[in-house]
Amino acid sequence: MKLSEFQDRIDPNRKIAMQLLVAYIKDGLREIQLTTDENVERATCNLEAGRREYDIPTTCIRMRSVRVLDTDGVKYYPIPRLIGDAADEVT
Amino acid sequence: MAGIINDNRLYPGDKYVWFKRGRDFIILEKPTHENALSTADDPTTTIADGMQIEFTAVPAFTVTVDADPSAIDIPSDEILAYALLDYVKSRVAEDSGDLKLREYYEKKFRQKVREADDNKIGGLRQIRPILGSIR
Repeated sequence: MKLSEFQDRIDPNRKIAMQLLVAYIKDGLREIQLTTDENVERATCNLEAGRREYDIPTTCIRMRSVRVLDTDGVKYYPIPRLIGDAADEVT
Repeated sequence: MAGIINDNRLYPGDKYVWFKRGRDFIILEKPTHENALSTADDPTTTIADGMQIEFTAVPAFTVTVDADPSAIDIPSDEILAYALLDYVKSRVAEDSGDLKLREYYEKKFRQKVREADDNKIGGLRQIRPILGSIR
């Protein structure tokens, strides 16, 4: 659906300001992702020796999995998420 | 299959763990394949493009002031675009102080999102057994 059609469907007689409309659409897209996981993305980065902290992408609203390349460099395998006291104790 | 060692390959699922802390996620490496979490520490090996994260993201949607609205697509499929329409209508109703109308459109929005999700998983289904399950 085009943005112009979207704008017309809201109220053809009273045009809503474009920047406000865009802001509402962004809010709505976020709400939809929280419910349906429609837009799943993947990102890769280097795993570095001696570095344990990595940034979560700013557009991320739900982490689905973290994977690491196997030693053959063929396939990414999911790694388990550490929960409980052990995660709290790590400094 | 992940987690099963049938050759000399080291499977990452046995070697690394992750957890979230604030805006970061943290990767730790276990010294052996045993469950030695207490001694897990920083990764010892650098692997180029060695890590992949899968996440749900908000689709990119930016509109410049002088953009032509008839040339811009809403970053959503057709069914969810109608749900999005109800969401925006609910916000507009909220701004005008009409809370009943806001609730009406909010309900329609939730209903359409749920339907759009459910309608995409039709057909036969089969449940994949988990590793180590009794056969």
